[in-house]
Formats: sequence, structure tokens, C-alpha cells
Amino acid sequence: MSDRTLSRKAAIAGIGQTEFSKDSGRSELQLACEAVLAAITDAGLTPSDVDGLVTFTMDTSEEMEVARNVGMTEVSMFSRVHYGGGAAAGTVLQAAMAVATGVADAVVCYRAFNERSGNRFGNMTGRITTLPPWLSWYAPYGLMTPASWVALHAHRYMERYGVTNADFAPIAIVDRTNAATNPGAWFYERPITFEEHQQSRWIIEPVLRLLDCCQESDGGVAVLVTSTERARDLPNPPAVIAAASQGATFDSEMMTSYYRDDLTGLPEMGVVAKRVWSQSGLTPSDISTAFLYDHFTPFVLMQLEELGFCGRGEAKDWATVERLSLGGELPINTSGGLLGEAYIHGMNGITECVRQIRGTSCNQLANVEHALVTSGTGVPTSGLILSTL
Amino acid sequence: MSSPLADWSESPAWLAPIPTSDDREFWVGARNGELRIQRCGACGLHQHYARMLCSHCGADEIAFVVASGLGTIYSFTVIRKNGVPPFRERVPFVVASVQLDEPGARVLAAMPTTAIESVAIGARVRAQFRPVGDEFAFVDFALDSA
Ligand SMILES: [Zn+2]
Repeated sequence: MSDRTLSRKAAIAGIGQTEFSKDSGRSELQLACEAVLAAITDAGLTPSDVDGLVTFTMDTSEEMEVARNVGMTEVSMFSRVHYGGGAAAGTVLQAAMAVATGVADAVVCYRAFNERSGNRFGNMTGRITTLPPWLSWYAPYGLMTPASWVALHAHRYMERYGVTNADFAPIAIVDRTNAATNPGAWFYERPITFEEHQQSRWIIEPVLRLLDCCQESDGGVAVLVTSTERARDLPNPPAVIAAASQGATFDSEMMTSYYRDDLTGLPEMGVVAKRVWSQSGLTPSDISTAFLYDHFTPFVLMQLEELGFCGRGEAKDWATVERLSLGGELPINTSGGLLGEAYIHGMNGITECVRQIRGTSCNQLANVEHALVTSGTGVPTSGLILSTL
Repeated sequence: MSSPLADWSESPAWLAPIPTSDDREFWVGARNGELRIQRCGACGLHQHYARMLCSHCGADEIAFVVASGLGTIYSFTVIRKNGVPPFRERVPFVVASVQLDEPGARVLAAMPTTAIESVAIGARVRAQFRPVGDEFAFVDFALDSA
């Protein structure tokens, strides 16, 4: 194997998070610092051991504010990743590259927000004076919320492949079933049935019902990345980064991309898929569990197709509750996902897959070897595969 | 049983287009009652919105042409909730992606004068123009009765 590979050179050695709520009662910076400190402590390190920081461009907590507050003394690498929830695994990619090349020794990736109690996405009231270029073609027509952006893609996908809203129910049911046994999940002990899904109110008819849309949350999540070699000597079993990639294509936009040829796929995720399979040498059948970014259920079906778990248009039949549940062929979102656990912009999917690799999930699967994580869909995105040592 | 249609004639200043040198032609054209899109001299295909190069073949032989304004609904959604004025008062309404008859181009726009119940993927539509400010206009679509 060529030396020019990132595969298995870095690992996640620490994870940290705050509680997930609808009103944290404290600042986003405070949430970020709590999560960062928790990840450092979990890795058995101290703040002065950390020399790199990566977050989302959308995050409000400045790197130096975080460093100052938690007591980092010397930082040699910091960067930010663009495109909303598409950044999640991308932060780990940045950290892994820094660690693999010796630019940094221990990098913390973090994301913290009061998305429910503070600035909610899609709420443009009083915040916009001039529109960003990509939005200037859409906002004048009232297309302003994530659900409405997603709907134009999903509607065409449904028309093309004969998919109905009922075909999205398995994703919501599996997420909420897993959340029901995760004490940290917002929807702990509140599973849903197929009938409840089908009776929930339309958000965008005939595409999205209320139970197809993820919740909004307050909270912070952080992960600590170091070299696989160093991670071996730290307290927790390392989650080795077998592959990490970002993905974007011609005519990618932030949630809209209405001017690309075909709206029935997620080509950004197709790029991620191609790269993570070739980088890791793995195939879909090697994956023990996946965390598939689930802000809106239709895009989970489209991801299964892009990632090669099934063919184009086949996800509506392939994605059954049985297959995606704990103990099934491809258990997904074992913490409850963004729908069931919390919406921390996908970072909580990474921590859940680390727990599955360590053997410490509250919904622990047997014999986990490789876990796949994807980030925000409908935007330039990212993904990674975590493996046991 | 159709929902009453709201009045879209007034738009606040923050929604007004801020044309660039690349797309000014589109906005001015709309004010003149024309749907102006770009056509590539090399491959003959069209594109919207305005770009520097042809999105189909990469050539730089781009020129604006006046499109027929006719097309077919490629996908659409119905906006039932939007808390931002003036859309708060306009719901429910349709936003559609329209495949123009001119090969290669799609246009995303609202359909403010069309009852939401009558919209379907594949339906034939025609462009219409809604002035904004002194110089420009938005392009909307309506079901084509012809
Ligand atoms: Zn061309």
C-alpha cells in the first residue's frame, strides 16, 4: 500500500459531550468548552497536550476563546470546515491529516450550539439585510427553510421511483426505537409506531410529515484525534480512522442545488462513498453499523443508494425496519440519530460510532469492526469509517 | 375548494435582487417582459442562472437569448408555513423547478397566481413577470392554459 494514504494513521481517542436539551441555559462557548474538556479527559490527556482545534465555519465559539477557557497553552493547527452539517466528519478529516503529517499531535474537533433556544435555522426574520448569492435565487420566492429546500429533491425522487411517504417511516421508527433505550436521548422511552408516523401532520405534503423531520437541540459534542500509535497507549480502545473524505460535485449548493441535472440523488455523498471505500479497502458488506445523517428521512434512503448498500431506486424496498434495527443486517443510528437523540449537527453520530467501536454504547451491538458515519446531506458533505485496532 | 391567492405585488427591499454584471440581463429582461437565459454558441444548450462558462461543455461562447417562457414542472413543493413577512401572509403557495422548452435550462420560481391543488409534476407552465423596484422584475410561473 502506498504511503500516501490517510487510512489507519489516526484515531479518535476521546469523546465528550454536554447533555442534549431544548434550552441549555448557558452560552454556546460554555457548551463548547464543556464538550472539549470532556473529550480531553476521556482521552486521558490534559488541555496542554492538545495542539490543534477544528470546528464548523458556522460555530460561534472562536478557537482562541475555547483554548483560553480550557487552558491550552500552545496550538499549532486550527481550521474550520464549511457547509453546515456537511462539516461533521470533515472536522475529523482535518484533524486526521494534521496528526498523520505531524503538524499536530492531538487535535480536538468540536461543535456546540443553542440551535433550539438560540438562533434557529430557517428563521430569517430580522436577521437578513442582503441575501448571500446562492440564496438570492430562492429566497425571493419564499423558499427559506431546510424542509422546503429538501422537498424539491425528495418530491422528484418519489415521482421517479414510485416512493411514498410511508416508505420513509422505517427510518423514523428505527431512530425512535433506538432513542427509546438511550437515556441521553431527547426521545428516551418514547418510541413511535408506523401508524403514529403516518398520522403525524404534514410539513411538506406529500413529502415530509412531522416525524420525518429531525428535532432541534441545544448541546455540544467534541472528539479528540491523535495518532493511532499514541492512541494505543491511552485509556480507551481507539476508534481507528480507516477512511475520511469530504465530497462535493459540479453545481453543489447549500441545500438547494436545483440547477444540477438530476435531483434524484445526492452526488456529494457519491463522492464520499467512492473515496471512503477505496481508502479503507472495505465494501458495504463489511460495515457493522452506520450513522446516516437523518435531518430528513428521504435523504437517508438516497444515502443508502449513494453508498452502495442498494441500487438506485431500491432503497424503498431495501430499507426495512428489520434490516436497519439492532441485530439486523445494517443497524443504523443506534443512539437514536438526529431524529431521536439530538441534532448536534452530526457530531453526535461520530461519538456514537466511537462508542460502538469501544463496546460502550447503550445499544451495543455484538462484534463491531467497522462503523460508517455520514454528515449533512444536500450540501457539500463528508463521511468516515471508524474501525477497531 | 381552492385556497384564496395572496397578493404578491409588493416586496420588501431586502428581497430585491442585487444584480451583478453577469446576471443583470436576466433582471432587466424580466422587467421588459422577457425571460432571458444564456445560450452556448458551441453546444447550443441553454443555462440559467447566469454563469461565466457553459455548464454543459465549458465553452465561453455565452450569449443571452429570449426564451419562450414555456416549460414543464420538473419538481415542486407547497410552502404552507413561512414565518417571514411577506411570505407569512402569502401561504400556502407553490415553488416549482421548471424545465424550460429550450434544451438544457431549468428555472426555479414561485407560482403565486396558481391554485396549489392544480399543480403536478409534468404540468405545462408559462413565465410571468412581477416588477420589483424601479428597474427589475421577478420571474414567476403559472399553469399554461393555451
Ligand atoms: Zn456549451
